[in-house]
Amino acid sequence: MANKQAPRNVRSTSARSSLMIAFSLMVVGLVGVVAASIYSDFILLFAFVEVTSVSMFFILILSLIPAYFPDKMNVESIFYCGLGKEPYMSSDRVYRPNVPLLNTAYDHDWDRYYDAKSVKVEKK
Amino acid sequence: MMEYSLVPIIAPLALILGGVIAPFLHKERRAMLAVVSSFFALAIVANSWVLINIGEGALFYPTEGGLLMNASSAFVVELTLILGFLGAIYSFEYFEDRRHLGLFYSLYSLFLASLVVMAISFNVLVIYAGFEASTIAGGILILFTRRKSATKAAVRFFIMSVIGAIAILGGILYQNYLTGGFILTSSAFTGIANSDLVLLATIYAIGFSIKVGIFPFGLIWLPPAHSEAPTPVSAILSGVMVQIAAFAVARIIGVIAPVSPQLALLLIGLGGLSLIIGAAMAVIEATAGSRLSRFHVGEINIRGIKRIWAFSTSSEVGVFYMLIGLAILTPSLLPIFFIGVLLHFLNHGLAKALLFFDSGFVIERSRVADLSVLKGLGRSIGPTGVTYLIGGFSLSLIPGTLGYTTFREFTSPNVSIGITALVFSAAAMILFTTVYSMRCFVSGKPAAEVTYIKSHEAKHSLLRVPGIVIAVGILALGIVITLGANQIAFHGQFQQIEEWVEMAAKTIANMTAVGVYH
Repeated sequence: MANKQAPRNVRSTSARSSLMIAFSLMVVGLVGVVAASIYSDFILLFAFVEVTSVSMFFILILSLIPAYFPDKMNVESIFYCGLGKEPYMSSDRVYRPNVPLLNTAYDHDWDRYYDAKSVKVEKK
Repeated sequence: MMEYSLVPIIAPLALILGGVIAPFLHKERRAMLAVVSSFFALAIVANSWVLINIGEGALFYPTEGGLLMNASSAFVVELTLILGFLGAIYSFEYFEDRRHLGLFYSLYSLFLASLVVMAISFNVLVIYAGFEASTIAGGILILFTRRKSATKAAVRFFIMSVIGAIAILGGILYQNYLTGGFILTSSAFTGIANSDLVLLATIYAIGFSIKVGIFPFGLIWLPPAHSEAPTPVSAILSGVMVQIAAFAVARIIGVIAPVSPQLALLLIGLGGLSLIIGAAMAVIEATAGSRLSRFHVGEINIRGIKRIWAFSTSSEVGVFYMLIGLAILTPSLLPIFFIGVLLHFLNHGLAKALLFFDSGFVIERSRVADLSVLKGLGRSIGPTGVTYLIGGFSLSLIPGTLGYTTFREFTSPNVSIGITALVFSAAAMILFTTVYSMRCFVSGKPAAEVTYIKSHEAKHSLLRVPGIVIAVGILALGIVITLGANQIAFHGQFQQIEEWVEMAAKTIANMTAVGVYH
């Protein structure tokens, strides 16, 4: 969704490398399948099909946890020697996964299916 | 008739190259659009050349077991490339966040390349690889809305696709056991017991039905994935991806040619259920919302603008399965029903992409994706209001639009009255949905107090362009076909179109049109 304001971007090497791995596997798989079909080598073709399958499972696993990770966390429920309270710790500072593979924070402006920055909705 | 040529690899290679180069131009958005659209244009030119010159023959590279371009493949690829090109233009204004545009274009091009690969092969392994690559690229593209609900929708899409892929892989291994190969030619299946052919066709039909979005599998993943994705991706998922999967089913089952009234009835039944339930769901979504229509991944109940058309896609893909089922039921009429497959591919592809593009325009303009809080846009909807109606009318099979082709298919004497009634009931529901949602777009009265706290003055002129181009195409072709078929005008042009589509339909399940159906 179009959003003029740049989202909070948490830099993470592991997240970026996940995207690179998934992307590379997909490109290698796709190009490999075309190449293997050109050489009519079915063993090679199977191998590249397998590469695309691995990429698909890799992405599925990467997406699964962030999809069902809770959005709102009660920081006080975390025992942290009394420091799990404002101002020592806010719910924003508790780890929340980013959008899988894209390594960018979720856009919560559209959580209610309208742009909360532009539109205000009040029940009549 | 069969010629060795490099042409079949031009389109996929052009798209892959465009996809690989795009991210390197991330600092210059216009350059990115120029590069991606140039590669699309190159692919369109090469494919148009094939479309005009292919005739009854086929071009292959380097063997018949590799990539093979015949009339039906060229037809399907042409629509894919044109919608992909329009989607690329639409995306330029849709993604104002420049950091993601490069990656988006890259995945978008690879997504379309994988769909093209699926369409231009008679080798099940290559089709399967295209299926998997399209799942990967399509799934990541859904994430680009950066919403939690989009991640959930992508996960559903992945899981269902993996289940479908396992079934297809089972089919591939069984085919290899039966024929000793992976190539789809009728000679490979000669001499194999009909019971084995029926089992193989059933495995493939069920495996692909998940990707096609047939009831009941489609309802689990299709409405969330198609509605949560960015609009240009929704347009390609609905207008191209599910249709290419249906095209693959037609090709595979057409070649295997099982003789089984039970399988035919299963496909007709699944298609019919999909058709009527999908259309009913679209009406429920537009009027009552996800509270009743269900299959929602968001945290609140909505009357999702894009969800309406996602349910409609689940309905329209039923037509493909009904046509394939009818072709199995009466093998002598297979070419006629396959003409229907191609024409419905064209009608649904164009109309659905248009409806998604225009729905996306309404969402961007109003900053609202839920009909229950949408304030009518009034006159500012402009030409998009007209193009949206043209798309909806075409899906409702109204004469004068491309929908008339499907209208003719299902009013022919070859189709039973029950099936005709089913198709027209679904069309009536889609007509109601179109008019009702249009009324909300223009003069919607939200159930809540809606105030704009920040003016959104962007004109979104580029977002209107794909809708206008497609609507002109739907009307031009629709008028020629309607008037030509009824011998009022354009009779010569109509005959040319009819002869060409007839010839192309023969090449869905045969490498060349000279091949003979079983």
